[in-house]
Amino acid sequence: MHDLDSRPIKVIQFTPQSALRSPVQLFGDILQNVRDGWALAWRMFLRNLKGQYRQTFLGLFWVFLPPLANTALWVLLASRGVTNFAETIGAKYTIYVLTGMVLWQAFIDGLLAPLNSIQSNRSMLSKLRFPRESILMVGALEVLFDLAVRTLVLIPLLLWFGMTYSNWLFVVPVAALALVCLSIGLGCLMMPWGMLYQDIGKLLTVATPLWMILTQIVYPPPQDWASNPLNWANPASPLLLWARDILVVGQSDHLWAAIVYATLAVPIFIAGLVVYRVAIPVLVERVSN
Amino acid sequence: MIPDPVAQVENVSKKYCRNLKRSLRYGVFDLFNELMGSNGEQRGKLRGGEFFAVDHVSFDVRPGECVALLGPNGAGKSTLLKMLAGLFKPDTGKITIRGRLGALIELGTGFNPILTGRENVFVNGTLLGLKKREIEQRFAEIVEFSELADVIDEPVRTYSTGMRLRLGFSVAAHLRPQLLLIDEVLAVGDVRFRMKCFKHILNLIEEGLALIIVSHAVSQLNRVCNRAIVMFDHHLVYDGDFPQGAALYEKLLLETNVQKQRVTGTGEAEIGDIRVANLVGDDKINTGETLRAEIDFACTSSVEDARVRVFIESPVGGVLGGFSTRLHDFRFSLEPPGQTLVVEMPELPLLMGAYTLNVALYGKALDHFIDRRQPGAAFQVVGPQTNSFAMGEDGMVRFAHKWGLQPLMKSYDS
Repeated sequence: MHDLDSRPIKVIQFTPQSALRSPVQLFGDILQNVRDGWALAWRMFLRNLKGQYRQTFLGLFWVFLPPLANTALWVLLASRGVTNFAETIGAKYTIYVLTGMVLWQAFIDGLLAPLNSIQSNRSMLSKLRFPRESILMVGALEVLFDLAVRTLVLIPLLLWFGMTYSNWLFVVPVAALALVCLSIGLGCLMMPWGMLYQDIGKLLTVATPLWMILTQIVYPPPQDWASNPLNWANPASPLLLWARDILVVGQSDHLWAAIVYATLAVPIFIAGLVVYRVAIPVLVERVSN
Repeated sequence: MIPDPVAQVENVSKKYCRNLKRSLRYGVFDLFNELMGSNGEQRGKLRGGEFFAVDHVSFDVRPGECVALLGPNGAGKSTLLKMLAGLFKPDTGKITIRGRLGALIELGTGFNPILTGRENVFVNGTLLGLKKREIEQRFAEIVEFSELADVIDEPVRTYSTGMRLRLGFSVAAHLRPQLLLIDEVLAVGDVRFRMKCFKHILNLIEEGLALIIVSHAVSQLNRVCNRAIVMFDHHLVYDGDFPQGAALYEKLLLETNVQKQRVTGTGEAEIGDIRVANLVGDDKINTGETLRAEIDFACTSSVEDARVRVFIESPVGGVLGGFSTRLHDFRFSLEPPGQTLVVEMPELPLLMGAYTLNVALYGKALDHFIDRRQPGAAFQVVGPQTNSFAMGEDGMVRFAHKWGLQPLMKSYDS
């Protein structure tokens, strides 16, 4: 009844050496863990989803509420003349801001996903051995799920406000995915320091609204956007602005910047995975309860 | 042929720092070194405020062995177990695990209270490494083992703590590891369920599972463990047969956990050394032998008609009993500089374990208290072997008894 596993015997070694000393094995292990951890990630994702909305009346509406509320605020400010942001865009200002907010929310969710997933699974990490990557996958699935739900609400609104058709439209999902990849990669690079020192989390809370303004979500970027190095240094900006321009006005000046960041997203994501993997044992030791 | 070890622990250490700020700072350095691809050599060096929570420990565990990892609190057992489970990296040495590893550090980790028992079985099973198909195949078995069939579709938050633990153990019990690590989780549910868990574990051991178990309930471990590793002060101090290890653990517990209570009274005399041994002078005693205690008293003035109470204590069972010199009307007076009182206990009824012989000294009047030694002298009862499977005697005290058989006095027909 309880026959022991008859699969070939696997030998594992735990040593003080850094996993980075054997990079081939490290990447092999990461891939293996992604494969082994997929079922777990999916189950935990479903668990969190069910648990999250079982006790709410409005359910999934809560996913869409933050970008909607933020948009409403800026549209109200513009309509009362507090800002002149709507002037250059006109009637499409609402959908312009809303699209930007949906993409911005995906970026910020992705950036915080690694840190939040590790924080909320701290106790499990210090008590159970399971593919660590699955927690990251849960975080990524949640970001993608929220983005998908928001997109489903956004599409009819885009049609309602009137879209300009462009062949680039079909590349927008790729840009959105690249944006999520980039944000999760950056989130992974930041996660270890954020786990050790809460200053990182606090700083992000304070800096996010300012960052959002600098990313030019609520007003159109200036004509000379590309000549300002600060704009190039903002990882949230190029992909987001390009995707929004295509969705709302059908053309964009940010194509090259978007291509650069979409290309960068891949190595940043891989570097993030490696840092995540290497950092977790150190973090579990230092912050386990 | 001796099978290869399932777990091989070679010269393994783990550093620890109690100061949070320093620990976090060291965390940043460690992280940096990890990312720079360090060879791990500097990990073995202690920095300011650090100490070895596990200090250069080595041992092997082979299939079918059931090892109790014993030691007082803070000895390093849980840290060692977490390294074996791959949760912490060793700072020196190497751990090799051959085969599938299961670790029960805390039951029910990952349960979501809002979801039903059924949903949580699937989440928990996947978390412990079972595939969906495997959980489906064993679902009925898991629920039957947990005895929660009636409430399996209720949210887990409506379960009592005992019910949650039962569900947690049932899922974990249906893993198929070659090495299972258990940390203090067998205090599951009621006594009957605990017995069921032990029985299940025994079955697994018979099938070749190797088990390392950390628990303070030594009397329960007796049922399953055939070997003990004792950790004390971050070192491995014993690796061998379980009963001797358990006795050593209890002795260490006495020395570390029992707060020394030296209560002095009127001060004209004090209790000096207490020596406990059998009649040949060995302090490792067998049940049924004569225990002889010599108690020194030093006094500055005479104590007329002194009274002495001797009482025996177990670190796990508390005070087991005591008696005084007045019981058999043994009367004496103490004169400076003092005397040695000798007491013999023939046919010692204590079973295997560690005990202390404590002493209190009184004067003639009922309220004339002079001195007390608690804990007094520690001694070990090292044999014969006890047995918890109704195949011998067990517990702490030997009861004289005889058996007989007689006809029923009433009818039990249904």
